Amino acid sequence: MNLRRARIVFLKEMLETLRDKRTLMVIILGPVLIYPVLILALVTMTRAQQGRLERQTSHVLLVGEQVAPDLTARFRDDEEIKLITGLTAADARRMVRAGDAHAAVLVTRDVALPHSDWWRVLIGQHSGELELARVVVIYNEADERSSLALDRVNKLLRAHSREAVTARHAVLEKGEEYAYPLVIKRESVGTPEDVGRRVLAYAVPMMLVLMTIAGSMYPAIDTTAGEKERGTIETILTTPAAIAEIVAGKFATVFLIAIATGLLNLAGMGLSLAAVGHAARAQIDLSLPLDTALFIVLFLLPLGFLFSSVMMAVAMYARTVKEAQTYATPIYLLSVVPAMMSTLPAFELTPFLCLVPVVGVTLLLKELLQGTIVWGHLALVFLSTSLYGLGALRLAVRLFHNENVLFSSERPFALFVGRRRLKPRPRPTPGEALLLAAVCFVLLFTVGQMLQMHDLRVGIAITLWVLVFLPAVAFARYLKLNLRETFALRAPSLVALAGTVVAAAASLVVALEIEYLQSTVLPYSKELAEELQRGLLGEGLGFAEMLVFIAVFPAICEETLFRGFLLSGFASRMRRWQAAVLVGVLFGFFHLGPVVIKVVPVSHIMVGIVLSLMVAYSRSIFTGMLFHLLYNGGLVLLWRFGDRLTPALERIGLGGPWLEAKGHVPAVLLVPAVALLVGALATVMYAGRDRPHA
Amino acid sequence: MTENGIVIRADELHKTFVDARGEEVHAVRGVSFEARRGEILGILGPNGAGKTTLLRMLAAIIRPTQGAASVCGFDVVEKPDEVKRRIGFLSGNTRLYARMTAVETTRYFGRLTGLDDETIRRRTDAIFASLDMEDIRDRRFEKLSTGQKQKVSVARTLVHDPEVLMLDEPTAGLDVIASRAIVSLIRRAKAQHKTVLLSTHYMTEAEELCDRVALIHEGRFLAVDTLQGLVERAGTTSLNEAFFRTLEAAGVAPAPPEGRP
Repeated sequence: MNLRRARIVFLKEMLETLRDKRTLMVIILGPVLIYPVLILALVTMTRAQQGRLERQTSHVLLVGEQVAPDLTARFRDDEEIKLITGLTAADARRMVRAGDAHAAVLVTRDVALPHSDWWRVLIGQHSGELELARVVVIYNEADERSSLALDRVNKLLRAHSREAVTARHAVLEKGEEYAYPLVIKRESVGTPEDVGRRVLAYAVPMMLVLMTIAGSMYPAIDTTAGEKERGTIETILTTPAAIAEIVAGKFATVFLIAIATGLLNLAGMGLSLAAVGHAARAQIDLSLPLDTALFIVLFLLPLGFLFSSVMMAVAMYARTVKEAQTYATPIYLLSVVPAMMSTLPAFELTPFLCLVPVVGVTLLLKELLQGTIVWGHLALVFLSTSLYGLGALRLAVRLFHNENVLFSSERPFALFVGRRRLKPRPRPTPGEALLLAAVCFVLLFTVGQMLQMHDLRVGIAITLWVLVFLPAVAFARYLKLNLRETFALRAPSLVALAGTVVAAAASLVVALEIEYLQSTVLPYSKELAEELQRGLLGEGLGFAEMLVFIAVFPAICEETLFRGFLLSGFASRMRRWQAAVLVGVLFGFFHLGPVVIKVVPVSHIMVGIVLSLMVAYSRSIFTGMLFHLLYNGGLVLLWRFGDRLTPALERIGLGGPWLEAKGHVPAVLLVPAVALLVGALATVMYAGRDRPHA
Repeated sequence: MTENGIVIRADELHKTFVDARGEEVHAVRGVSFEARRGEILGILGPNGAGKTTLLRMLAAIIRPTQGAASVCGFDVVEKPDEVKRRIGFLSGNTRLYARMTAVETTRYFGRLTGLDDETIRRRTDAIFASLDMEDIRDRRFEKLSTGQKQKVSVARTLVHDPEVLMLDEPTAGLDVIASRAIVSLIRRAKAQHKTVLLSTHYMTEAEELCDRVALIHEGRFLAVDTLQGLVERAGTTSLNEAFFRTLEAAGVAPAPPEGRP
């Protein structure tokens, strides 16, 4: 690559970008002017509103004033309350509901009310006997003024009650400690700096992530889809500048603008927060320590790198600015969820979360702002985020090389063309495969999880058939794909069948060892399987039913999606092994439950890759279905009859907790299993290396 | 650099696209020709005939699906940067940057071609003087009239003093005055012994400027000859009639190309 030419492109892009008023608005005017003004205005308005509310008198209705004259007098004397009496309970409710009064206090001697519905107030004492009244306070949660009235009424009732108790103690000649043995005084050892760090750790990561992605969005669209729309892309391609040099120059611009937006926001936010915190300096110190600020700037680099690359790749696909905005907006919205993780309490960074795009950086920034530095986390987040960015950048370069993407006036996805205009095709594209995977994942982690929590058995069945199998088949039909090709519906060779049986049995043993090894590092790795096992056994499912739900249904449905649609989609533009690895990884993550988000499903990924390779090279989905059936069937057997199997294994010297993945698999089993697995896989791949599509 | 004066050579060029529905679109099918130094070769055909795709392949902007081509002795696939250094490519699709001035535009493209700033300044001054652009040199592209924009595009195309000009319907959509800049550019290039590939669907433009004309339809060259040769071969009196006669002889019935507006 000629760096001089990349520099020329970069300087030109910067010149154009900085001459664009809209970009300047986003990167400078937003953070430097509007943003602090907004924060200050919000704080000032909130304070003013609060002050205004506090100065308002609360209109409180008292029903049953004759029951508690002392209490009534107390209400009358309160300057913040305007008391209204002489109404019925029904009137009081109606008036509070209509907003004609802010709260109502019903005092009664009726002791038949359930305990939770009333407050007890001491209203007097006669001959040593306590006179108690029941008090119900009516208010409207949806009305701010009513909530304020409730606070005032509560305060008054507590004061009244406490005075009554104190007076009674005076009669009994006992001190206050008699009634209040426990008096709590709170003392925070947190310094103003600590409190400030907590506030910063809450807000800064989210804002930084969102602003950086917003900062990358506009220049990415302008330098790619914008150029296409304005017709300047062909002009640059007439020069000797190579695609890589053009992309490098454009990328450097987007990256710089994204980082600048992030930094300016950091500065704008810092100044605004400092101004807000200045008044309360004794309680909170919102200044940012220099080392923390430097680390944040350092981590803005991979973050800006990732967002700039992703946005460029996405915008490159679009033909117009408007279309690019349509594609980029969901990415922005998708980033909001991980960006908000810094605001969730008790969400700590783990090695796995370090690897999750955006989540890792967000939680790392939170950790840094809290004053914690874990070098392992720093390295993992920096490396993984940079790698993801590099992947996206490679995709952007590839798209730039794609003449269809550069010059085509057609919509990039057949999906948008309209079914009527679609022509029958043999297989889906990788884009369609990714889209289906995304839809199925969202369905699984939302609807599927809810259904399974409600009723495990029905939930599994609906998830597999309606959320996995049906979308794959329906999407293939919609796109007019050749079902035989897309789902590899052809008979497997005998070699493939034999290899599948051997590989499935060997995978069971190897997966047990992987799970054990993983559980020594991450104790959560067994949670999902054990939870599922407990759930199914707890429901009293018989062996046959378990086989149906755990082995037969997944073998058909998951294979249709993964080794059918997704594998053929990815393999249409990739090498078979590359597509198989990608599908294997997706398959692994498909088996994540919400509880085990902290775990990389290594054993499932391994099984997924083996399965995908089997189908990719045998060109028959039935090998995948058979493997899946045997593998999951084997698991069911272990769950069901593991306890009976253990004594038998002990008799032949193969005992131990390995059957539950709680110990190493004996070498005498593991070594042959690995050898058989590799051998079976190699045989199937070799035998199917030249096998054509269905 | 050139072999027997041949500057552009195309040998069985094919270009096939796959559209979003997975259908193959054959934009260019087996085109072969040669163009010599100082020659103006017109490529005449209706919209969608494959003119733009052919020129894009020859300018190394897109890669041929099959076949080979060279410009000034450099293969368009193997040495795209050397090819691009020697070509000035101008089309209705090569627009310029709205927020850059005329002089910034020529400097940018000159630098990308590898020229030093002094050479760019000298050439820019000369081109601006010859195209009467002095008053617009520091005005942004977005503020210019259509004719002035076209002049900046011409200046951009010429700044690196290319040996070959590839002009893809350069006058399409322009008024008479704006078209003049293009016509004089082609004439000047001819006088300087540059090779010009001119794609057009205007018969009169081809008649007025070209030494030889290639008739293209549905991605195929139906004939390549001098104007006289085409007319005589078709047994007609004008290029317009010769075009239709050639198509009929080839067994196709196209929509008629447009007369000069």
